[in-house]
Amino acid sequence: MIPKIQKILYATDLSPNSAYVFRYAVNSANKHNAKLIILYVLEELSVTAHAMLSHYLNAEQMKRLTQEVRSSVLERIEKRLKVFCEKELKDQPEPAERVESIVVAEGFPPEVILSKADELNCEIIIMGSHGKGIIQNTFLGSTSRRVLRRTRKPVFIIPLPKGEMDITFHDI
Amino acid sequence: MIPKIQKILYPTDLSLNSDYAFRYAINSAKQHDANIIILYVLEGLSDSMLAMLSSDLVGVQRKKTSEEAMAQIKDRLKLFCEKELINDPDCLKRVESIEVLEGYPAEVILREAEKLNCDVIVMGSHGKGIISQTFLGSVTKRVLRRTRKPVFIIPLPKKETDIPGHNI
Repeated sequence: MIPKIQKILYATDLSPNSAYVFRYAVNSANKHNAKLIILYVLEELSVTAHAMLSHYLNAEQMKRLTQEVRSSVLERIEKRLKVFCEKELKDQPEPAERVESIVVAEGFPPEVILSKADELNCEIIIMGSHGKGIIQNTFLGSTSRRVLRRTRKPVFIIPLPKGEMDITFHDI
Repeated sequence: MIPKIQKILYPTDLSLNSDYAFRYAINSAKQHDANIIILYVLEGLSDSMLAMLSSDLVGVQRKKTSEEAMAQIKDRLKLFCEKELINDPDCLKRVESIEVLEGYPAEVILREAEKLNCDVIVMGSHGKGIISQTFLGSVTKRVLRRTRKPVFIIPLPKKETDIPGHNI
């Protein structure tokens, strides 16, 4: 019994590494004829950050920040991912077919990645080895590490290539 | 520029998890039209062990036994491939070579991946030393830490796995 790959979860944090990973995700999706789900997780404010902010902002402003501003941020990220997909997939025959959905969720990234992978029935997870917080190239990023530790699904980890990259989220 | 996957390195320690990962290696090889290199690393004796055994006679004997062991492992791996691919014999051609080498597993895996120009490494998340399911195996962890190549990590699924070739 050869395992089937029909749905791939591509987790991104909009870092350069994860932009590069997108190509592996698309390539795998094409080769396995699988659907792609793009997931971005917006980190929640930490308790400390929340406490500090509420010290400077009044209740009204705080409410605005946690509700309106956040929802507009989520919207903007979703839009950015859409534009990125369109740009990257413009040479594909059926780009819209490939990407099943773009999910922007809130929470603790490793947890949301794991729960979405289960919820959406993805067979594999594709992600970069390092996200935003590159400290040292020789260590695994914290989100990838946490996902790897706890998942029962195959995970495809893509490190940054040695040379320059021609792909990024930053010009969108 | 879409990254091409033409050569897959599949390091195994003959554990159940490794045997299960083989299916993913085969699947990827088929879909990407790639070849597979199977790598088993025979761990060398530790320095203190060597020092304890270091009479000439033992040295010659040791070399002989490790050569025998390597040949045996290679045969076992060959048999395993045949058993796994019994319904898909064409796929056997995708197995480009079976390497059995001596050394420190993580080092040898990294070195061979570079030397043989592999595009991706497919391996199990845990090898022989399963202590806790929630942690990554030590060899996998070391490889992940140091490689610049994509690594496909396959954990054992929760449910039972039927791998006929495992008990060869």
